[in-house]
Amino acid sequence: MRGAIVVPSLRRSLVASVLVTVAVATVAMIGGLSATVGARRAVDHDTDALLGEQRTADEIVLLSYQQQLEALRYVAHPDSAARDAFQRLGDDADAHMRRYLFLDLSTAARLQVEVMKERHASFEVAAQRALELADRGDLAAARARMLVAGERGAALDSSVGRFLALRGAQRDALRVESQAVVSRVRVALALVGLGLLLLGLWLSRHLRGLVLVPLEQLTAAATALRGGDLASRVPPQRYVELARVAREFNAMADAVQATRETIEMQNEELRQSFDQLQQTQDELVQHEKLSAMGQMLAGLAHELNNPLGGVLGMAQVLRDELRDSPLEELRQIDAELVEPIEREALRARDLVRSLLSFARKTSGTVEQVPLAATIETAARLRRHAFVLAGKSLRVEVDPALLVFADRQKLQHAALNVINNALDAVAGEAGRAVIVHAVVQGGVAHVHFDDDGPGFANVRAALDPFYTTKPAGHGTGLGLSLVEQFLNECGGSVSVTNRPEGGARVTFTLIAAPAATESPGQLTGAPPRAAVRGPASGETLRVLVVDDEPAMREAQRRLLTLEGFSVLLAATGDEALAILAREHIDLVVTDLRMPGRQDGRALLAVLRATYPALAERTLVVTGDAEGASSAALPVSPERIISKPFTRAEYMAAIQRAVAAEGASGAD
Amino acid sequence: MPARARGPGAARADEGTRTARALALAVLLAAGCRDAPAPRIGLVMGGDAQSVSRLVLEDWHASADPAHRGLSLVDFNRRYTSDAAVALATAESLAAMPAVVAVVGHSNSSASIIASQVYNARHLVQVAPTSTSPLYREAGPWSFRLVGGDDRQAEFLADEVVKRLPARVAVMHVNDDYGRALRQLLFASLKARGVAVAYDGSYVEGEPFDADEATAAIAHARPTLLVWLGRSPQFGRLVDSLRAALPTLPILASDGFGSPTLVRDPRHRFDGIRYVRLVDVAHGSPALQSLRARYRQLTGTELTDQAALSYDALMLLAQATREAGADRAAIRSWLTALGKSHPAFPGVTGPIAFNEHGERVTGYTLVTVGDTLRAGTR
Repeated sequence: MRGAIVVPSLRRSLVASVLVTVAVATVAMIGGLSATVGARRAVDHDTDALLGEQRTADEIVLLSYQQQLEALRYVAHPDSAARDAFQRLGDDADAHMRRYLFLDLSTAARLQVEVMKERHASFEVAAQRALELADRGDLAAARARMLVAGERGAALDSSVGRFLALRGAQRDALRVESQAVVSRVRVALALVGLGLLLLGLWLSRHLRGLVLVPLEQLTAAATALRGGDLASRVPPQRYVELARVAREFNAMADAVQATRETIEMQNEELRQSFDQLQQTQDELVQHEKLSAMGQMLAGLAHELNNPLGGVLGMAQVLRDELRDSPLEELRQIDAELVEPIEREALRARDLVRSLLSFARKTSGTVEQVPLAATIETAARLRRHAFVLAGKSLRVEVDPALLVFADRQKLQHAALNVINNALDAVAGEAGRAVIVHAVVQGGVAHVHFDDDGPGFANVRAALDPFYTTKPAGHGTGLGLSLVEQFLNECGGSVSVTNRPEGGARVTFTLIAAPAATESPGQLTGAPPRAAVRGPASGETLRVLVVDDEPAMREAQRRLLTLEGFSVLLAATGDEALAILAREHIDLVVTDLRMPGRQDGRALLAVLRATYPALAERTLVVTGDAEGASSAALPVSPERIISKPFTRAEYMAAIQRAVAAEGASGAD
Repeated sequence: MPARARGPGAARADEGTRTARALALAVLLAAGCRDAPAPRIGLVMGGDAQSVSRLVLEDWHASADPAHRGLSLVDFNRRYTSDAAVALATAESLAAMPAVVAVVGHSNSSASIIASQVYNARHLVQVAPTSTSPLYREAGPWSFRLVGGDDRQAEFLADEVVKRLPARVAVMHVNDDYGRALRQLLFASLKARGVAVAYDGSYVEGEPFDADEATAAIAHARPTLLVWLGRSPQFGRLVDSLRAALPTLPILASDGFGSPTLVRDPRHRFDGIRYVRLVDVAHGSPALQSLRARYRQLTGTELTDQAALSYDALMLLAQATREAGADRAAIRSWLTALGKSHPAFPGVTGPIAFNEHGERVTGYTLVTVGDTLRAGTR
């Protein structure tokens, strides 16, 4: 096809080169050897032929002389045997001469053979005449004729010699020519040898270019590749076989390079993943620690609730006693001593509740939650740190603002942001962190503003493991977890640097309609309800069941002050014993109690035995915040969380009494 | 120039050589194309062959394709054609001429044999019309002849000898390649037939011949039959003394005896001699008879074996050049194929084809000088 590129084949080139070289060498050798051998054979043949001709010539002469002898003998004594011998010898001599007839003779030699024949014939005729004269008895004439025959025999002898000389000269010429041929052949062989040497040099050079250079290139490329130079490649080759090898090597190198790059990339990804994994593991460990700590705190909080409940209850009782005392001293004691006790006990209670709230597992339920209270719960945990750092943390959110969120997750998110803000304003960087919210179009934007240095990289701030803190001082997961928590709540988070300086983290949540009062979150003291039973007008008898003496005593004093008749039981069994013999209008029981009959068991017995009473039974527990309401045995409005204020406690009592009144007495 | 040979033939060699140089080598038969140089056929035979070559030209012009004509006749030397030196020189000259594709010759076995080596070395086809020596078989693959070897003639002669129931047989032979070989073969044939030879003599052509001495030697043997294995000129020197000494001696001669001079002898000295002829002229084909008549009209003599066979040789080679072209090897192949892949050539002397020795197997006829030709053909 016109324009098609013909790629030379190495194999064909090598084969052709070798064949050409071998052919040339073979032809030269064969030619030289043949010529030399031929020349030598020709010389040997000529030598042998010359010797043969010499022998023939000798025979001819000998035979002619023998003929003469026979003729002389016959002349001396006529004898048929001699005559026959004479003839036979002549035939032999003629036969010998005929051997020369068909040789490759020169013209002179050939003519000389004819001369020999003629002289032999002439000799024979002369001798024969002598014999015939002898037959006729003319011996003198016969002898004279024999002399003539002898002369002719001598002439034959000289003609034979002349023939041999001519042949010798011819053969000498041939020998000289053969030697010249041999010399020429030797020269030719020498030239051929030189040519072969040059051809061999060229061939070796050519082969080097054909094979060795490409192999060296391939070796160098392979060595470089093995040494790490992934860019090493074999240059393009001329011949199709080597081009194929080069192409395959380069493809292999490309694959190796790509694989290595892939491996390096994957290694980098693995390293990053490992780092992330390590960080996640640390986070998980921390989380587990926190979880364990949370559980521990939950347990501790529960344990604290009881004595706190006792302290708070007693403090409130004492305040009731002292606040309205006519004695100034007593009122002063109340104000200076008891009120701080109540206040700190309440503070401790709030802290415990906050801890229990964070320790609680998230419900995963998006519900209406009070934004301010939820954020305050988180803020409360860190406010003391702010104070210690000389910074301020203010939550300026409308308490009535409700949002749709998972409470725990929102608390966690707020706590993470507050922690980051505290770190941001640490030292001389800033002074305050303010949390405020704006509702626009049904969306609540909660801003966490600080006056710190702001985000170094706003875009990466929410990326996992992004942190500007020194190693060991942060996992970089905080804000990414915030984002995750809010996304799970159906919200979002954004970060920015404030124009006036500092950072702003904004939660975006769906605002909920105006909140109705939660029965579990009543504040303020409910109005005092009547303490008498609605039907009989008698004082209501309340059975308080709690294994804590302080809690029993606190409740007794509170109920007594409110005009209830109170019976106390330390265990569920005691409570059942009292119920069996006494009329009880209302039972208020602790949930956790030692023994076989804890609060749950007691409730179960009440439902079975005193169903109406069970419907009114109140549960006092320190786990109200730590347990999900689904795990509580009664509805939320019948649960009193301890430690409780007097107002909270009495509100629950009043609701239970009111319900009894609505349903009729037991 | 060939080296001059010493001895009896040396003078003839010199003259022959010079003559050969002056010749344009006999009849040149151009049978080639008009455009290419016309191939030529050399003719190295005696005078009767020259005479018949004129008839060849006439017949060739009459029959050949007009595109393949062109026949030139060049003078030739009838003398010493049997001389070795002349034969060699002629052969060398002919072989050196590229246009010469074939040769008809030579006139006797010795010349044919010595020239054959040149022709075979130079790859030139040679057709010897009448050379009968057995040695000619060894000449080479380029040499052909239109007659058989003398081994058959020897048998024929031996049979003729036996027919005559001779009590004593004298044999005289010319001491050359022809006569010597024929003598050996005849002696073997006679011996096989139980015939002893009473006299065995020889002569050399060109040397002084003492006819009386020879006659005395023959007569001393008291032969009842003389077998002459030689040529007629030498016999002509002997015949007078022989007739005087042995007037009734029957004489039987070999083919070499044939000559136009036999019947022209005014004293009819050769009458009654019976000799072998290679061609049965008297009973030949009409073409042969026609040639015989034309030859007689041309020369006034009887058609000899040499003339008839030379005619056939020339026509044969002319046909070969026409069919095979002017290539020596092709002509040789064409001749070899006669009677095999090609039909035999229809010569006036009979169909021509060659055996493995390059010779044509023919019969023999015995004729009597001065008498009508009688059958005795082998």
